Order: sequence, then structure tokens, then C-alpha cells
Amino acid sequence: MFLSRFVGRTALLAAAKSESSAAAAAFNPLEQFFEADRNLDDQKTCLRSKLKASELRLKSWDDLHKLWYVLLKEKNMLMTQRQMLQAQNLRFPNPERIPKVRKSMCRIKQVLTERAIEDPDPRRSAEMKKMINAL
Amino acid sequence: MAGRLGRRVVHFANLPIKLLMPNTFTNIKEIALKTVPSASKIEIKRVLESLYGFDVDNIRTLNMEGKKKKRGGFLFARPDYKKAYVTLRTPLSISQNLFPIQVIKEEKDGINKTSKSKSVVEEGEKKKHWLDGKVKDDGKEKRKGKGSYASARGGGETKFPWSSMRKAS
Repeated sequence: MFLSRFVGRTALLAAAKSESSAAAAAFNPLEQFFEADRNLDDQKTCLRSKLKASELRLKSWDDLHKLWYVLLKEKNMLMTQRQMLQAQNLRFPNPERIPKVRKSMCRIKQVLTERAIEDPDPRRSAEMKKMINAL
Repeated sequence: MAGRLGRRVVHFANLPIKLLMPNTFTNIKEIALKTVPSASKIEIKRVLESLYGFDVDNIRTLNMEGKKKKRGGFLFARPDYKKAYVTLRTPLSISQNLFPIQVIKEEKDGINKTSKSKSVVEEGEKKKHWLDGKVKDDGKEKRKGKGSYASARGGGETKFPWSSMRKAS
């Protein structure tokens, strides 16, 4: 059924794995739901600064596709954290990260729809349908 | 078939998956997730396999209503969610150093410790008060002398609730 998506995502998985973790094999998938202690200032500010619409427009479709899934994982991780901390009545630090991630995902879709609209007729419908297709 | 062909390619998945806190940190065979109620088993399975790399043996789902709570006479409903129990083929384990786990554990330990110490102190205090009440007003004055005397004898603060009783009798 969902073949191409599967292929695309396994490729993304491989890419993400090689990027993020030093050790290639034995990557614990559960860890993707938790946040390791990384330098909050460095990583996140540079990530977020690269996600302005003007910068996104320069990227290719595949890059944006990968970015989308990176952001999705980030959002899932943040939501997991928030839910776990709230279950213990603790405070979730920096809750503004979640809407930031959501808005950058929105920006990705916006950039892609802009491109799809500019295209000549037959492609428009196909491309836009792909994107607007939720799940 | 047409429906399946039409929906075969889905490029931008947007499935919010929140992992619930696992019971133990080693030998995790089953994990629990929360998602939107519109997510299907097949969908969740695919996302976990392709995006996250879990090897999924079996998924069981159930729909849950969000808790209905009151605040000052107003009824609030938390959003409904879908719970999914995912059995894994290979058991996993997490280290305890990942972000929220340690914090949560510390909090739990902290809570347990404070509750334990509180119970001891409360008993001691209560018993003191109960004795004072029986001895009445004159007794209170006597108790002051006795109490201080006793504590002086005891050599500082007594941690055990029964020690004060012994000295009083």
C-alpha cells in the first residue's frame, strides 16, 4: 500500500540516524521520544533561524520533505515531554517551543503550495493534492 | 482498489504520538502511546516502523474520553485521545539519563521521602499534644518542665515517637 512513503521515510530514517547518532548500529528508537541534554543555545537557535520562509524557499522538495519529518519528530518529543511532566505535576520548561515547531511545519507547507501554484496546469492538482493530503 | 491506489502516496504525515512513561527502564516489551482518535492501527504501525524504527509485533488500540473536570462551576473537558499498546519483537531498554525521566524519578523520591519524614514528626507531635490535653493547664506547666528535662536527658531531639512517652511515664 503506502510504498513510496515507506521508502521515503526509511531513507529519511537512515539519513537522520547517520546525522544524529555517532554509533550507527543499535540505535535505541525509544530515545527519540526523549531529549538528551544538548546545548540549548547552540542547536535550537541555529535550527530555528534557518527556518524562515525566505530560507525555506531556497531549499529543494526533498530537503523540505526531510525537514518536515525532523520537525514532526521534534514536535512528538516535546509533546511527550510535556505530557510526562504534567502527569507528575511538574513544570514543562520552555513551552513556546511547540508552537514554534508547529509554525515552521506550516511554513514548509506554505512554501510548497506556493511552488505548486506557480507550476503549469497539469502538475498543480497532483502536487497540491499530495501535500494537502493529511495522513 | 481505486481508493487504495488513490491514497497510496502520502507525503506529509502529521501524526502526533506521545509516549507514556514506561514502567521499568530495562526489558521493555510493550510501550503505550497516546494519539489522536482518528489515527488507525495500520497508520500508527507504519509511522513507528518507518519513522522511528521500532520493530512492531502487534498493536492494540482503544479510544478514551478525556477527563471531565470542573473549575468554579464550569465543566471543562480534556480532549479525547486514542491509546495504543505496542508490543515489540525485541525488548528495549532506556538509560535513566534522558531528560524528563530522572527529573520525574527525583520528584517521586522527593515526595516519598518528605511524606515518610512527615509521618514520623506528626506522630510525635500528636502524641505530645494528646498527653498535654490530658494533664490539663497545671499539667502543661509541669509538662514544660518535664519536657525540657526529658529532652535534656535524652540529649537533644528525639526522632522516635515512643521515646517521649517513656520519659513522661
